[in-house]
Amino acid sequence: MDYSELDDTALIALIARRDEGALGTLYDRYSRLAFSLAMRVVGERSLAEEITADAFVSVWRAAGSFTEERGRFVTWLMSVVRHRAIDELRRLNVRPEGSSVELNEALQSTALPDGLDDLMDVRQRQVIVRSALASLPPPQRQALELAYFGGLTQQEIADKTGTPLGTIKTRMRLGLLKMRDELRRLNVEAG
Amino acid sequence: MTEYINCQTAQELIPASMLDALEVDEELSLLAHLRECPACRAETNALRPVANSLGFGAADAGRPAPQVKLNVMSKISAIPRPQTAPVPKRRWVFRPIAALVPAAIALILIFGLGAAVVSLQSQATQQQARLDRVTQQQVALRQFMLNQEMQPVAVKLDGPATTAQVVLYASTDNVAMAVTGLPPLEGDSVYQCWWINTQTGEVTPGTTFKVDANGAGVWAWKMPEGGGYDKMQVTKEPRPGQTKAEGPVLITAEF
Repeated sequence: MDYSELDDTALIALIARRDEGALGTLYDRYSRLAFSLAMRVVGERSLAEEITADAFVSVWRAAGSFTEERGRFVTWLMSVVRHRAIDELRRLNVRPEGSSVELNEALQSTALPDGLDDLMDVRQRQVIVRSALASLPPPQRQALELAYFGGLTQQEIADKTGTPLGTIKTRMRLGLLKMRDELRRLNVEAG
Repeated sequence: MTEYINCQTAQELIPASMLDALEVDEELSLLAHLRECPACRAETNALRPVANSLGFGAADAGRPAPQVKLNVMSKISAIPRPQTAPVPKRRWVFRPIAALVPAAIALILIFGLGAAVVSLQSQATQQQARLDRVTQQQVALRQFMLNQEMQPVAVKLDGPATTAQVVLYASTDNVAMAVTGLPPLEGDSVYQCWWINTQTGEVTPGTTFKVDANGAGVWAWKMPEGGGYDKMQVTKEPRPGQTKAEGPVLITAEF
């Protein structure tokens, strides 16, 4: 079977039937994206590789409960990667939260749309999102990045940056709204 | 007790919520508001894709080492295939366990309710340690619950569970439950769910679970199909795989 001809939905269906070749194809297709996200969060290569591997094993375990109506696979995958990466980040920061946790695979499967065109490939999405992020005023971009990639709460961001909490709330809100507008604009331009 | 917030406050919290950047009490208050406010839910739905897109903004780090793929393929090969044999009928009328959602272990999440069912105890130090983990799972569970259009369900606590905090939501065929303060179990002992049809008396054993060292966990389950179940109970059992409840009933929820 030529797995490369199959879309993500078809591959997930095969994975649910324990087709290892299908998982290998999805890995080839998205491991670079997953690894880049993990690296951005944890900043350490071997840990990012471990997180990437764990994410795809999670895909294997949870494929049976993933449905297309819940969103795109790549968004699901990135949600898994991000949560695991932030989990590792917090564990490394030695927070007093006890033993590490396993995510309920069903909860992970609630991948919701990322607002980008279905037909757009990964690279195109990356270009668009990076452009949108770059268009933000630096304080807004920083607030979003500290929250998304750093796993920090608004209060933690305020403490870390020495900025009033109310200011951080405003920056986060305005940043996300501006991101939304930019994504719409760039989406249209990208056709 | 979850603080009630208005739309203005909710609108201020929604962007941070999309990024898992709220404190727990804020998250709970927002969730309670979202359950009641279609306009703010719409705002959430509009911003969620934007937050979800941020992962694409990570700088390209190249590919992981080739060994990583080998590790993945090796690990999945070692995962046993799920059992498919049906469970035979037992003395009480029940059906094979049909939970489509496997129970997770050791998530800490405290949920506020639109109509608050359980109030938060202010044991600050111990609770804060538990709550530090909450934000990791908030988005996933919140999205799950909103997608499933779940409603809060009153619970009755008995025995050792009376000092626990339990929050339970249900839709027509899904249940999400979060607990803290349920006594951790030793050895083979487990907590077990039972799905009950009060009209017919049918009882179906559900999944078993344990809580973490803080007595906490959060789970999402799909009800067995076709049973008309309108009640769920959780008992403490001496071992997994019970087909008939032996232990005391700790949690009761009627849908």
